[in-house]
Amino acid sequence: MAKRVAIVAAAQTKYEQSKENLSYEELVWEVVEKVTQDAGLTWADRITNGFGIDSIVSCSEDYWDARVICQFAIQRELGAHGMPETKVCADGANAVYLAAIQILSGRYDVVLVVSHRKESVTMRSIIENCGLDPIYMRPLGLDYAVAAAMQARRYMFKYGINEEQCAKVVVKNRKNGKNNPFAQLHSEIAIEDVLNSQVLAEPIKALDVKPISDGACALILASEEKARKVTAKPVWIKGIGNCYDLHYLGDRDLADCNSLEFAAKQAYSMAGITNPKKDIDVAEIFDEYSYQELLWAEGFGFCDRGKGGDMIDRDATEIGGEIPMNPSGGLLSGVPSGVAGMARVAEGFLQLRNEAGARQVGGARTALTHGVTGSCGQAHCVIILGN
Amino acid sequence: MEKEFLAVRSEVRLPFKQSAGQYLTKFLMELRNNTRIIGNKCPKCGRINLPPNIVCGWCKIRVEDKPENWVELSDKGTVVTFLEITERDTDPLTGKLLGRINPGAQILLDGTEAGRCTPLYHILEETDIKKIYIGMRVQAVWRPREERVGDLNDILYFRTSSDK
Amino acid sequence: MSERVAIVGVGITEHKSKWPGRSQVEIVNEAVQLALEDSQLNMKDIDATIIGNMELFEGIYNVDMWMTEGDGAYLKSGMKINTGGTVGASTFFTAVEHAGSGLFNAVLAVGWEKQDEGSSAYSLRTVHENPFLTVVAPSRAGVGIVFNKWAQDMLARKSVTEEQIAKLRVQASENASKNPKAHLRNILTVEDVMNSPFLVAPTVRYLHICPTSIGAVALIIAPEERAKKITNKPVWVVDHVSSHCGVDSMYITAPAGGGMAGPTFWWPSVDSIRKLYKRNGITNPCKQIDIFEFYDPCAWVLAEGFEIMGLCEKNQAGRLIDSGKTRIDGQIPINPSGGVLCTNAIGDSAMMRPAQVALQLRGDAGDYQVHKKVSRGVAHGLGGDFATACLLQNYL
Repeated sequence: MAKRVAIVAAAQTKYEQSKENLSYEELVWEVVEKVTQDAGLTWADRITNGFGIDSIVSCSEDYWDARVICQFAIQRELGAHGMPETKVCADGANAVYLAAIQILSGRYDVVLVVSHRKESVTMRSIIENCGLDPIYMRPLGLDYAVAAAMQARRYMFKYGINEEQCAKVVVKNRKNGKNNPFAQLHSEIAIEDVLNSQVLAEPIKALDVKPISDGACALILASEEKARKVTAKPVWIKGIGNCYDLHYLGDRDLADCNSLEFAAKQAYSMAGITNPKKDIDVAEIFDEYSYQELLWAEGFGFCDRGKGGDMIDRDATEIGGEIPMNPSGGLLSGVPSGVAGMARVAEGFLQLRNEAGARQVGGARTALTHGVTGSCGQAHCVIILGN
Repeated sequence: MEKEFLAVRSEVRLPFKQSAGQYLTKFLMELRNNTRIIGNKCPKCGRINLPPNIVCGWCKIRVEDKPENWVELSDKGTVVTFLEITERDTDPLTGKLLGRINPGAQILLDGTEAGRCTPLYHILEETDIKKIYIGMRVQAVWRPREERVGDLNDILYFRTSSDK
Repeated sequence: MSERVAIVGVGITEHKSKWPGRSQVEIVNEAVQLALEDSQLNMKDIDATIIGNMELFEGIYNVDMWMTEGDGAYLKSGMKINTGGTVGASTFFTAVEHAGSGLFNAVLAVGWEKQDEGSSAYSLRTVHENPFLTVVAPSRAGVGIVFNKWAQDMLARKSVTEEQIAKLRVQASENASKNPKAHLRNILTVEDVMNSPFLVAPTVRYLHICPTSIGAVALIIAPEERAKKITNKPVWVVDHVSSHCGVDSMYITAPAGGGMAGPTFWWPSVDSIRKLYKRNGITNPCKQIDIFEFYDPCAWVLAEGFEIMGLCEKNQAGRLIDSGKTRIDGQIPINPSGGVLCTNAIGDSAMMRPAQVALQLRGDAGDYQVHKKVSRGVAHGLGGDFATACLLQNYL
């Protein structure tokens, strides 16, 4: 990469099942105020010398906020007066990706990235049903959870992964979540709890899915020159990649993750990563459904194809294992979709600054962070961070 | 033969329960409980947010929820712009014609300055648009307590007033 | 910019009010195919696809997922952008930034809308109807309400008369009649416009405002070295600026388009154009810029746009209309395509402006090519409290 881009500050709200005392404006301001104060930065139009935030990338969805062009509600809180602001409608990691692109292009130097969502205000399955094409899949009554069940079934059938192995992901991440002050759920559970939880769509059970959650996350990215003025500990963005797969569920083998592999390859190539298991010290990946942590891990090359189950049986992804995965507790410990990918980046940032407290992976110097949009992992976004 | 095209019809009903949040709740409660319109004032530039908001959009700083930052505003004002939608609309779900709405106006409340406080949008009692003009003086007419629920419609409309 | 970038391909579909024979995917695909054909590229030459659309208008969540069927995004990078009326421009700018990052060889930007598939007028109400602050009853007038405030202000300043606005609308219809891809192509008369019924009394008539169209625009953008290999007529994207008004909540001001510092609707346009000019040394736009495409959802807005773009003195917009200089054969041609007044598929309208400037700068606008020689153009975008502006050139 000709230019270098760094993350200089990150803020997250505590993720909660319902933040009913906060409006969208108040929710967004909480993280924007925190991240700007932490960085000691304000917006470029508020200063007469020096530099400030010169672009804003927001990330939210009209469907979830019940309003067209939903960022109109939060313009003041984004500090968008007199500023450029662009909304990315995808998982939060894509907003981080765009901010990096804006800086690499040379057009902007310091970009504020913000995502928010309140999943508690409405019904997820109806919205996700609308995410499938209106002509063929939507009338079948599919939503992302049902689609995930099909993918889980296919993955388990093709490679012999079993439900216990998926449940182990939940147990591990819930245990990790206890150490994360931002995580929604702070109680450990056992494999039996997962296996006995209510079936939503075979083989997905209630505890195999991330809980409904409200919250927000914000980051500030800066060009190398500006980053060094803001903080003594910038976290460099070493590689980025994103990619789309086909939409119709029958058009691809759901046990494959071609778009993930493509995005990862882009990011690895930029970051100079040739052996992911060795080169990456900590991974924060998108575990919205338990089986997904295993499937995506294979796509990332942390284990061979079909060996996700083996990997978790060997405890390879525990904090002390060969590739610590989701020490933050991941999505399964509670974070809203849309915010989740950006929260993974925020967690990677904390890990590399050695500020992850009880969930710190010792000596972490390279982190892989990841976000997913669409059903069955149709689109993936990968951001590699390094010291 | 003319080609036939098929279409898939669907209707999405999405229930929502949204939060007014800390600042707007205070505003709505003042409407309901005390027939008072309140805003909050930025401690730095003095501009008034109407309705109250957690941030001053100009200064990009927090307006703290402290007594000194809340301001009571008059319920009398001057029309700065007005409009009338002459055609009645149809309910997209039932196809029924909806009622006509009264002319609407943006009203700069007394004691506030244009450019330093948002004019309040509301509807006017006067239905004849030829009688409405920019600069017209108006006064809020409040609903009785049992009809007030904590939203802007707790003001029934703004009546043309004779004072200057 | 790290890398200089150019538009190397333009694809514009027809625009209609109803299009039952096509799905959204097919309309997007048509624009993409036209852009590929225009640039003589193949989908395999494209590395990233950026799309823009207001998904609530057609009722599709994560619409970029389904759209991969039509925009060729399979195994390519990309994302979806939504910024309201300016989405076409924001999508274009995002693609420009991707192309300028050094990571891509060619980036596709697509904007579209298929409004007969949903209920955009009703969806638009959510823009200014906070569930707790709703006073305005349901109305199809939508953003027309805001234009009424704009118009009242202009009349009070004596910047234009109603008749001059009607003349401007007639001029737009004459331009659109020469543009085969425009939606409304009938030539109007001043009487037609002045006698059309009110949408929002006392100023905004039906023939003052834009239609709801169905269509799509696709642009292909490439970094300098690649651009020069792809085409001998690259249109360089010299600069892009975006500015928002973030001092009022749209909830409380939009119903009458007012707000704090005068109409919140036009401050962002003033700011983005001012910044664009300042960053690029433009002090005399009439002389230094050859052609303008201004985002004009309403004839009143276009008239004010003359002043915003610095093409006339304060409150002299009416005189500029009367002078005829803004016609296709004039010295300061504005909106030779017919503008948003004649074609408005919301997701593509703000991308259509740079697309039209690009066609003019290449000499490819056919019957509506402006008569004077052009080498530099400004394209503007507008939507709610947001505005964009960009500068395009056919030379480096």
